[in-house]
Amino acid sequence: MKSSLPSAFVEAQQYKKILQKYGAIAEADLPKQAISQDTFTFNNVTISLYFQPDIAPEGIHLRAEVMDIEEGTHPHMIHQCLAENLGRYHQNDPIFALAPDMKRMVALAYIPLSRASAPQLETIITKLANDINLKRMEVLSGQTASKTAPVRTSDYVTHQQRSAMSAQVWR
Amino acid sequence: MSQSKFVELIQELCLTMDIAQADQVLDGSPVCINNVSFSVIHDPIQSQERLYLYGSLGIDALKDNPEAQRALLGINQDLFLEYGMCLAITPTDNKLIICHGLSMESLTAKDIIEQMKYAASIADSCKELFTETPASFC
Repeated sequence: MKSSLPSAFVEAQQYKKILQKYGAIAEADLPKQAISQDTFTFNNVTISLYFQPDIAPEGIHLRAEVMDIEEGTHPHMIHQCLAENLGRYHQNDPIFALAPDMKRMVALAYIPLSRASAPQLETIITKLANDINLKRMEVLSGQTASKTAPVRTSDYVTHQQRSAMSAQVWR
Repeated sequence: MSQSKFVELIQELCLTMDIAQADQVLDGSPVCINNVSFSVIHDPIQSQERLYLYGSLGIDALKDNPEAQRALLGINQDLFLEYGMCLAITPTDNKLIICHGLSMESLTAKDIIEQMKYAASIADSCKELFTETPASFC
């Protein structure tokens, strides 16, 4: 019977176990009712973990609130966040985005269930919260250059430089 | 897996796309699909089992266009949550690119081409929207 269960159901059970493990590890910081809602606050950062079997059946999505963004403000910060995304994505770190209301900056990550474990979640969440708090401080202090996520662009830039001599066209 | 799987995939990709210089593609030279140049990268230090597609959308000068930047950052949520892709700007030359990480397990060259085609279609949408009404995003 086990093999006939929909894979999404099996994954959901795995997800639940991971959340329970994470809750056990970080019990001091995470209220139990927050775990049941999949949303909690860690180091002043509101974080949601959620499982979307219809979109991504093999992993957990993580979303963290970074800060409110007023229309027309912080253009340098938004540019910096977009520039950081290249390195962040390449390093499997959370990337920056705006929430659908376009008024809040969020950080997003995807954690494959095959490699998701309670210690890994804890590491990711701790690093994420630190990054976000540093980002907030950068904005408050008017800095635009981030020191939190070194951008690994050397490969890509090298490829760009090569592109003129060796681009292939295929449609 | 890792590097040998990556080499196999690139060779298969070049064969499928009728590209003679597989060595250059392995070394990061871009392939062009629907007018978008993609570099296919495998960095074992970052991830043994994933490869990354970086597609240059051919859009630049965003630094002086905060509305467009805001719009891009707004698109990123849906793009990431639904397709695992993300828009970014290269810090050095201020170009808009699309990033996509793919697990190499059970990946085929045809899958890579399909993903590149899809990313290229997003590039087209971005170009169209930014050249027409960038403010409509916000």
